[in-house]
Amino acid sequence: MADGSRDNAPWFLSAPGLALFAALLGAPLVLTVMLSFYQFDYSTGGIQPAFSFTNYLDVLSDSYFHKIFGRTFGVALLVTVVCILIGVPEAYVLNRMRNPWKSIFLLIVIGPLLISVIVRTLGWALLFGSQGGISTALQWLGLADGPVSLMFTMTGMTIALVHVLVPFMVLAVWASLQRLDPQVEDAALSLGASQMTVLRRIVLPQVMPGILSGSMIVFSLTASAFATPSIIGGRRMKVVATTAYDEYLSTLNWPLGAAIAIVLLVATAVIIMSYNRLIERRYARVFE
Amino acid sequence: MAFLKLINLTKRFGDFVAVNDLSLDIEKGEFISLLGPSGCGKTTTLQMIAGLHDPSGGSIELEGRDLTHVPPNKRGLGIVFQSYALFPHLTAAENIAFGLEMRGVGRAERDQRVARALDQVHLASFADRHPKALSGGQRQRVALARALVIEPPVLLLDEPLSNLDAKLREEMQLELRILQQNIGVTTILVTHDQSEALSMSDRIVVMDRGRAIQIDTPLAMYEAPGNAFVSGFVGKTNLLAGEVTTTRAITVNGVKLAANASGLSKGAAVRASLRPEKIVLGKPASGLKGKVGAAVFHGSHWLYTLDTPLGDLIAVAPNTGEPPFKSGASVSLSWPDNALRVLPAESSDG
Amino acid sequence: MRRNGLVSLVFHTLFIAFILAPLLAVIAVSFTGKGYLSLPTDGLSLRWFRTILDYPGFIDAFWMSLYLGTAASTIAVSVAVPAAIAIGRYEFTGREAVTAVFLSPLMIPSVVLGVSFLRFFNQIGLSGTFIGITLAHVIMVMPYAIRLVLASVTGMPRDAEQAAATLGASNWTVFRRITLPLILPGIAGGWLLAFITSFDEVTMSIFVASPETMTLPVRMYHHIAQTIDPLIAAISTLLMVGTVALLVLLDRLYGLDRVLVGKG
Ligand SMILES: Nc1ncnc2c1ncn2[C@@H]1O[C@H](COP(=O)(O)OP(=O)(O)OP(=O)(O)O)[C@@H](O)[C@H]1O
Ligand SMILES: [Mg+2]
Repeated sequence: MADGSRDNAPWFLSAPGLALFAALLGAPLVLTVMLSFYQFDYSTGGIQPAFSFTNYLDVLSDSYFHKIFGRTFGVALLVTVVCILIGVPEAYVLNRMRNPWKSIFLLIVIGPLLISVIVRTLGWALLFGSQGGISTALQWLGLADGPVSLMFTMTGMTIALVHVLVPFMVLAVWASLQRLDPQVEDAALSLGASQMTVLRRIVLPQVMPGILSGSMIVFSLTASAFATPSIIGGRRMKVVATTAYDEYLSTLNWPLGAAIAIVLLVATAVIIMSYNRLIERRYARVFE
Repeated sequence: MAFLKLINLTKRFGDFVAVNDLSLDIEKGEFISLLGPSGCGKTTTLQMIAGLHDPSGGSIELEGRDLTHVPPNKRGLGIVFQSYALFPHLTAAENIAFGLEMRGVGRAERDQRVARALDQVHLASFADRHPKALSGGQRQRVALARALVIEPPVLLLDEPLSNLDAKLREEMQLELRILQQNIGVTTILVTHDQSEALSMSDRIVVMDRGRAIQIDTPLAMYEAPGNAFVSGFVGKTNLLAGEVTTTRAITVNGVKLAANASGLSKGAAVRASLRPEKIVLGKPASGLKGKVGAAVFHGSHWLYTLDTPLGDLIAVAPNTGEPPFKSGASVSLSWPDNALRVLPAESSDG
Repeated sequence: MRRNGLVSLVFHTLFIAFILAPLLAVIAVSFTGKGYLSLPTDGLSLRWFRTILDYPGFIDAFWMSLYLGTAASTIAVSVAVPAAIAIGRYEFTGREAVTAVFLSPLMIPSVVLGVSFLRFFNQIGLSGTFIGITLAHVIMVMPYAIRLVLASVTGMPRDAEQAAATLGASNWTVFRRITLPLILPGIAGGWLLAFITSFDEVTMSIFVASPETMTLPVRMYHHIAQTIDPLIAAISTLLMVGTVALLVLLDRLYGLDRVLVGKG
């Protein structure tokens, strides 16, 4: 306890956790990487432990997979942009509210993070169906002549995913707004800046870290989302996660499923890291 | 044989030397202050004595027993932290009882000793309050009682009064000193407040950049500061730069002043310290003259700034009820011959 | 005090409507008296809530999720506490790496975790077992447990521990009498967040759950994939009520925004 300098204590303390992670995370990941190089035998349904790049070549050359990966990352980008467009202003508005409204609305906005994704997606499925609320409302407003369904559409999937993920954006921006000194805004106003200028020149640069970490979370979670695309997008709007699921549990081609999963992992990591790099460079300039 | 000995105590954090070769012998029952500017290594020294930092070099002995590598929970010293470090989830009484419990003191005796300790610090009616519900001064006293109740051989206090307001601080200084003398516990106080060190201690250790610069009684420290740093840090002073004329005089700005400069060679550059309260101001007469700049009222005394041939000086005069010298008035300055202290030559301090 | 303008408030209202719409839709449908889906509904009925009792599969799955969440978050927290103390209290080479390891499940897509656990449990003969799915959930919820416990460890004043040590307490006593009580809110918050995360998890569980170890969200997913009916809405409504209760508890205990920053 004395200095925190006794060398073994921290290792001793974190040993149970590290052992657990080595056995239960390290080993499974290694096994899956190995699996992704094995072969699936369609005639017997067995797995041949022979090393080859076939699965990766399949995933990387087949236009079917190109479409799925393209859709997945396209949706992820779209969802991220929409989350920024609506999540950032909402966090700002929330931050300017007074208690108790502030706490109540914060609870309403970020509380759904703790409600099962299944339940939230079900809600959209109920609204999107041709007998659903949106169809009824559009017809009642005279905006549609017959029943409309957003089920199994890109629009529907995007709306539902934005709903599922926008709390993360609000939360991240909210956290960085908490660190902002409200007097700085007043100071800018007193120097003659308009409200808009204050937002653009003073507030935005300071909440940038929040927006960035928020968009990384939203992007990576959308890219790997399963339940929402599966329920709202269905067979017609397959994404990477649902494709991997089908390979594993319908086709039983585990090696191919493993390869799809690994490509998803690597692609997401690469995109997030290069984004991070890009931003850091940008950022460094802003604060020089 | 000293009661508590610090022998060449050194602490390095990486390349940085926080405490540098500190040696100190402390007698039983003595009240020692470690005084110095922020960052000079006071807390680090205290924490090494407490066992919360391992020394990088040197050793600590208590009654001839080597304590250097004894863990803190086996040293049995009483410590009051700067932040008090009360246990927030325990009441005042439970805080005080903790150390006794660790020593396996039985319930009945424990209750009795806790009650006595609470009495000692005038908190008998606050026994069941949590720290959050106590004022700063009350917390400080709980921390003190918690440290004292285990009847430690040495009491270590890290700026225990610095979080209190000025009035409460003075009260607590007096209370603490009386309590310490009644119990007779050997005490080391860390402080950066020179008046606190002067008023409470048997001896003061002035520290600067990890080193002990001077170790002396408060009076000796004040009257005969070993160098410019000490004279500036302990009390206010006028520092005069001049050169040695004879063994009994120095010259400052062409003015020859009586001073004991024995042992210094003629013409050597020296600095001398002149305490402001030693300067006696009078109606203009012969001798050194000056002009009053500002007169600042402090209740018990007046503080004057003076423009003199020696340079700008400050002087302090008791408030006798008479109106003070006005700004711009001419006055004469005098002081007892031994008031001007020639400081030993030194290397760095500016 | 700065105020929100009209535009801001209109935007905010729409945003809140967007957030609440699907949740309200679920609740509305669950109270229908009809035998089929329709929105808007007319009339209130508890018919579908009674029907749940005729589906023991959902009831079993609920208990399964409850046991699983309890076991997984308890194990995760008991491993997280010493690890968080190591990370929060000690300077040691490799500290960053250790932290990264414990947070890594957040970076790995759940599908990847799912397929990895499936393969792993298959190889070591734990597939379809309660132990298997529990261990998978321990890994999954560990980052949440670590984050909240770590926040309370670093937020706790060190000098209280030092004071206890100088008063004669051994390391273990310091931990039991001082550290543990002071980080208890963090531990409780971490446990609860871990529990909720485990209870709600679908994507990874869908790969590892067998018919015997099927969790409630997985069962609900399979049901929805077949048919969407008021029954599933009724179950969802009950689930929401339960979650909101826990949510309020978490808010009281710790402040919801602080907890959920741990989630992001
Ligand atoms: N753990 C540490 N690592 C590195 N440097 C340290 C550490 N603890 C203290 N120091 C340095 O050692 C020096 C002495 O610190 P210490 O706390 O003893 O000062 P102090 O005299 O008590 O000052 P203050 O009056 O401000 O409390 C400081 O410069 C400080 O920055
Ligand atoms: Mg200090």
